[in-house]
Amino acid sequence: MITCPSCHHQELEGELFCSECGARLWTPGMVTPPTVTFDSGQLREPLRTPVAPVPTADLHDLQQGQIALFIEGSPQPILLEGQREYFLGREAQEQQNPDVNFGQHGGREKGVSRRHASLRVDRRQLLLMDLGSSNGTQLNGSPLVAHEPVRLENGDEIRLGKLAFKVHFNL
Amino acid sequence: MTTGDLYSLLGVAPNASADDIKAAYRTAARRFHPDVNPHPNATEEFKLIADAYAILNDPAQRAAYDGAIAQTGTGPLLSVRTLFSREVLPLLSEPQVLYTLVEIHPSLANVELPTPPVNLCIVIDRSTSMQGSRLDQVKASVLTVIDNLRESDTCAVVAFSDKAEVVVPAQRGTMEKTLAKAKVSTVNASGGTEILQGLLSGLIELHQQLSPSAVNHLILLTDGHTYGDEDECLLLAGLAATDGISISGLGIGEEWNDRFLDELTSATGGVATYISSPQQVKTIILDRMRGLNAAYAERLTMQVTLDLDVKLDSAFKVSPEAGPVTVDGGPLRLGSMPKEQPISVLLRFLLPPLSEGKRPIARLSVYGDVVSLGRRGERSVVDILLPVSNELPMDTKPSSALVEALSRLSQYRLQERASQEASEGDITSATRRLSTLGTRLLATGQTDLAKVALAEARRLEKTRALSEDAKKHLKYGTRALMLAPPSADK
Repeated sequence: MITCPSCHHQELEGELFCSECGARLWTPGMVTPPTVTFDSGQLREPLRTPVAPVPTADLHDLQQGQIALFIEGSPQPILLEGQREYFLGREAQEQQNPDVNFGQHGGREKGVSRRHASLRVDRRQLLLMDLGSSNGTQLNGSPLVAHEPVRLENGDEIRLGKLAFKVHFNL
Repeated sequence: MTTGDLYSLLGVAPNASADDIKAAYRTAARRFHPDVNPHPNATEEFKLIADAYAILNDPAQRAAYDGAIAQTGTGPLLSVRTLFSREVLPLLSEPQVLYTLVEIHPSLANVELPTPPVNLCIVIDRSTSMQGSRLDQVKASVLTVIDNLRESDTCAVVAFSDKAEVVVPAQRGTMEKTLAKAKVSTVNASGGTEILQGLLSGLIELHQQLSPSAVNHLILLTDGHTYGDEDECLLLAGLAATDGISISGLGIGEEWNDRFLDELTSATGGVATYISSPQQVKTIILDRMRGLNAAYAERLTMQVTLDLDVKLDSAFKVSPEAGPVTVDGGPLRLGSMPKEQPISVLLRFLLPPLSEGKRPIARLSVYGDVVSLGRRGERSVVDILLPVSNELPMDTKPSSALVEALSRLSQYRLQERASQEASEGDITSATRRLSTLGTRLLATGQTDLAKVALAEARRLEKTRALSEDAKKHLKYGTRALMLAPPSADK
């Protein structure tokens, strides 16, 4: 299922317009990423510092079905388990809070939208999808197309706006 | 026996090797074998494939077939193009939606083609409410239609209230036009509206000159509700469609039943049109006549044979006219195809959880009578076959023609939901939806319709009921938006 960024109505995968409010569920005029290959490490280096390496001991503690988000500058990872889908964002006043609230991690200042992205467990895979956020989602330095799920690998680095974290999972 | 490209049935190119043909036959036969595919059309597809293979697998028969094709010099006369909302389907363990825009074009676009004869019947509602400018405008339009008849055409005029009267019996265009016109001029308004009466007489007149090489068409003009005979009317429309007759409905004013007229016409591949003021009657009727005169092919249908676990959820025609297409398991009736414009239909498929690899979704078999060339039962076959993968290309973007059509359709659907909710008494939801529709219309530059939607939202809050006027204006207004010029993108 995908969630309408405008009214939060749930639609089937592949739907292009929300049946409830008519909002677009995909990003119009997406700039096609260049197909030229280059050393992405080089490109990233001057722009930002990589997220600190995750202590390997923590990884072995992950039990089957657990997902851990290691946020830059935060001593404790956020542990997720028991749901098929998690909404990532920051606290919202009138609306329900997201499953993962980046509010206390400076989410607002770093440009995290209220409903920014989702993590979904699908056949022992973890899928990340941008929900049409204002400042976008990056996976290992590449921007995601809104509402197109991508498969994550252990240790992938995700950026919601400027807020960065690494994801580890045992599914 | 229909004519058509045997190679496309097997999904191979005409220069395919014998081994390719054998392999393609195995794949196609496995796909449609009645033991594997429960779809009602599968058996027929399977037989067609087996017949095609019997010819193409035999070198002598294949050579004879190739020779015959080369001699007539024509491939399929209907060319079919498909655009998808996704070129690569994501590998998911949940259901997903796939939109397909099917465009059917004449294969012989730039050739000077003769115009086919038109077998026409105009059925006029002469109930009391038609009195005055409505009936006057209708009569004036019919007189012009009679004046414009060509010798090869035939025309009949029926007027009905609670009973029907044949004003002008079916006659060739060589008829005594002055007399026919005089008779039309004497039609007076009185009585109720029983569409069944008019429809029945009209169809009987059409049957007099029914011809598979002509455009057989009934134009129904009404301004009112018909009571109690709707089911019989729909039954009659179904029979008309089987006989190769299409029906278009022109609804004048606010009182007619749009839902019924949509259903009646779409069962035959025709559409219903809203005429808000009597002054528009003539333009719209003459427009329809021009469309009928310029037909390339008639009685277009599309048989959709679904692959395992795929569902066809809905179909909506966006060119040459806009309107819903009945999806009932039978062939989709697409009506008439003019020379200059393609028929475009938007299909919504529901797909099951998919596994990796090439996934067949459906086979589309388009049938039609190419009346301008006197060729009947032409067939073109297209398979929808898409890769399923976890690796989605980064630059996938649905075609702009498809997105445009869907964007318009979503506005149309909002309007439908709003009027549904209003009729069920859910005024809050209906009001909110109309406001949303107004905003969406504004955002797409449709200022006039947006104003209607927003004004109606305010009105609804106060009066707690939709006005028939605004309801029809929005319904046919948002529908007309779908008639965007055909886009050239791929």
